[in-house]
Amino acid sequence: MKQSLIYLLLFALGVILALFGWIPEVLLKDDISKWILYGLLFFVGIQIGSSKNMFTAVRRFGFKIVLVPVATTVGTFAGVALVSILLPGRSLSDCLSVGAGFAYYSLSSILISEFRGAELGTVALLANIMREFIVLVFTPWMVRYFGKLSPICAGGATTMDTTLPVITKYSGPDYVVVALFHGMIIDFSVPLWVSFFLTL
Amino acid sequence: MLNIILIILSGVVVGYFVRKIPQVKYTGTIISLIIMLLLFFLGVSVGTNEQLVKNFSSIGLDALIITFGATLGSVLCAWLIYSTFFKKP
Repeated sequence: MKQSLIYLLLFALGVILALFGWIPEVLLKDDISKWILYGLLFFVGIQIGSSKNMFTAVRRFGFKIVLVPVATTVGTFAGVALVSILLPGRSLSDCLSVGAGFAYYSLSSILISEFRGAELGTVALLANIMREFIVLVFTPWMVRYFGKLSPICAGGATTMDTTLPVITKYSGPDYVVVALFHGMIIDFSVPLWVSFFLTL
Repeated sequence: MLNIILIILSGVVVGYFVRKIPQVKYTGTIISLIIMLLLFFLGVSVGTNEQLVKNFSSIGLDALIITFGATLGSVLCAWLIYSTFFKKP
């Protein structure tokens, strides 16, 4: 939660400094951020490659654990496709690329703003921060009405870090392994899905 | 898109080989710092774009609608597989 606040504050600081025109021209060149983004993706890869074996989770829960990230992905895309009817100004693939952030708002918003501009990038930032926020606030309610997997699927890529404590508390310690496995798989799929929808 | 996949995959390969090196635990910190820098730049490009500043509330509403669909869809799918495969009878 603390880290999300820092991220949001830095974004807001950028907006405010730019509104007052306190940003030197040199920093407004686009190609710098593209190279920084490529560096970021490389480090995301290192994090995935060096992370502890996720097969231990599969061994404990059996193969059905794979169904959890599948449910997240299918449910997210189906839901986004449905509500995109309410957004006539935006194409289906743009909406899906925002949905494919799976609450990983930092990476998805940066990827999207690089390839589609700051407008859709900001939609992605806000939408995916809201998704994390919804899980942090509504998990007890979700578990009561929709079962112990519901905050995991709703939490998307955040279930291995920011939303893990609240999931542990309400879904129970048995589901920690599921949340970690799910978070890793979804985390890895975010840049792939986002860039896939952006090339459509 | 191919660029992105290749960069991540090369990171995964490097990550696999350096996983025993203790310094690899700083990867998360490096990622957070780069993200902070990039989010600041995203803020700057939003702030310098008058059209965006003017439409900020409608952008927020679009974001809310997309998130509502995404979250509700995944919660319903979670409910389906939970009651079919996970819940003990």
